Amino acid sequence: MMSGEGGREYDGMESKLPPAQESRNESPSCSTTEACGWQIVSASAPGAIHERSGAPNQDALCWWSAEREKPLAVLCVADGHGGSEYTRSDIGARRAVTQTQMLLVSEALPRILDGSARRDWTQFERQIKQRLPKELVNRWRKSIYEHVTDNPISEDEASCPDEEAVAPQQDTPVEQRYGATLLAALLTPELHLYIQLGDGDILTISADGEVTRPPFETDSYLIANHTTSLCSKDAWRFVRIHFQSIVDNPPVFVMLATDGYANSFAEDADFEQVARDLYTAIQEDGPAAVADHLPSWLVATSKGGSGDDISVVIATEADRLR
Amino acid sequence: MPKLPGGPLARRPLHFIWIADCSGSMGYGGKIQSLNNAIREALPHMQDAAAQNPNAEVMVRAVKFSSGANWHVGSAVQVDQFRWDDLEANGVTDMGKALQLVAEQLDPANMPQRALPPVLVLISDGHPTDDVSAGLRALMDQPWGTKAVRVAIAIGDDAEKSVLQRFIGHPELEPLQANNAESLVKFIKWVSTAVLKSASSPASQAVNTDQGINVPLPPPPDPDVNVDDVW
Repeated sequence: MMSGEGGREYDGMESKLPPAQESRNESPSCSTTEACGWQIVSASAPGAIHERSGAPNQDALCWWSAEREKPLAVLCVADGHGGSEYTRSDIGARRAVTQTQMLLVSEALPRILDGSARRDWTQFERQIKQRLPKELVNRWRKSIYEHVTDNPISEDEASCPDEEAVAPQQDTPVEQRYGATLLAALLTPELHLYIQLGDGDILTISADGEVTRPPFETDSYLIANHTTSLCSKDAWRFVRIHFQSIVDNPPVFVMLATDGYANSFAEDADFEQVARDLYTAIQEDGPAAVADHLPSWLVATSKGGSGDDISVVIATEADRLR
Repeated sequence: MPKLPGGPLARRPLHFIWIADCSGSMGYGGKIQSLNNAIREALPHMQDAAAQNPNAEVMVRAVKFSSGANWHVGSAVQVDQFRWDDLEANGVTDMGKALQLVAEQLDPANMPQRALPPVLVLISDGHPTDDVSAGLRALMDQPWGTKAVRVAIAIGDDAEKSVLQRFIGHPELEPLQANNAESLVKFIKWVSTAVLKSASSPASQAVNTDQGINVPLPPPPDPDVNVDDVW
């Protein structure tokens, strides 16, 4: 079995997978790759409010892509809740993205690559929808319990150094201290698999320029800063999954963003324009140039908008670049 | 290369609503004038608290209830433009109608999807004279009502605290008991500043956890024990 944060031994399946690149912890603010069929750009910026209070960036992201092989990629973004009860949500968010990435790369991807998913598509989809939510939540819980075993909670532990912050209750459950939301995407030539637990946004652009979202069921809990979460009771029930078969009009641009981005705009259309603008910029100026600008764009957006942390991972089909 | 991707940026709106009892009993012992003074005194502090978080756009309005209920300040006003006109006391205590008015305003059709949790402050010195249960139901039927930060201030010993407790909806947060002008000022200032700051944080709250209160609040101030109770 897998072990450790950011481990790369994907349940012994690594030898069956193509050579890959991954986001690196040493460059958390911004990274890009041009090694596979997907051009990936990512960045994470601490929120303006967190900068003022001294709280850490409680978002996390990671991605994985195959080198010189089929256009395969896994994108993950998580948003630690950051409130006074969630003293370790930045760690919970990091555990969420690494565990999810490992799960998708080690278990879902091999079944797509060896053709077993294609042979019985309906069964594959049913199994993923039945098993993946529980497996995902279980792995996250196991991971945070490992962390808390190695790093016991101290009596004066707080989520940020702000003296006016509300002190957490000492009996706050462990899961709650690490609470985070999750977005993920597995991109292959045959299908895209989109996963969402809690708030945040997944936007795609098709070849004909249409901006859409995965047609998840509505999560009625997402209102007034409330969200379903990895730390919710029966969290697996709130995991939303969408399969998209790649047929006539596949997405050429996929963007995962924590809710601090969309909350910086009054209207959905203004946020969707982010996807269009980034896609155009990547096409015209290249992913490296966009990667250079992205952190400062996120900082400016948070400052003028929601004040929240903002993290984004973008995959653009390489063939679309001029 | 765009200057900044996306459309125009926007702060997140935070709706703050005073729900004030103007029944005849509020005229006894100077309660209504103490309330007017307290809100007016707290306003600069409220504006300072709002200014400390430029990412929240605090919008204030007020409902008054006596024989019937009306908007005292009907259109949401930016906090730095907000001014308090004195309330006057007369009539009965139609609290239910006031909650109905607030519920209508919290209908999703009237609330921006990305708004911060609203703050509702209910202030009363007496017993509701109308169907307050209907008003509470209307409020709690609204998702924004359920998720609002609801604080209640009881003025004097005659206030029906059980109703105020039902409005709050969380056993761990009780109505604030103001028995004199000094304690009322303290409580009004607390909701105008500390509660406002807590509600304007972008921090998410996970659902389906053991957490009871919509937004964790700092402890309220103690009422002034050095002053003789006057109400």
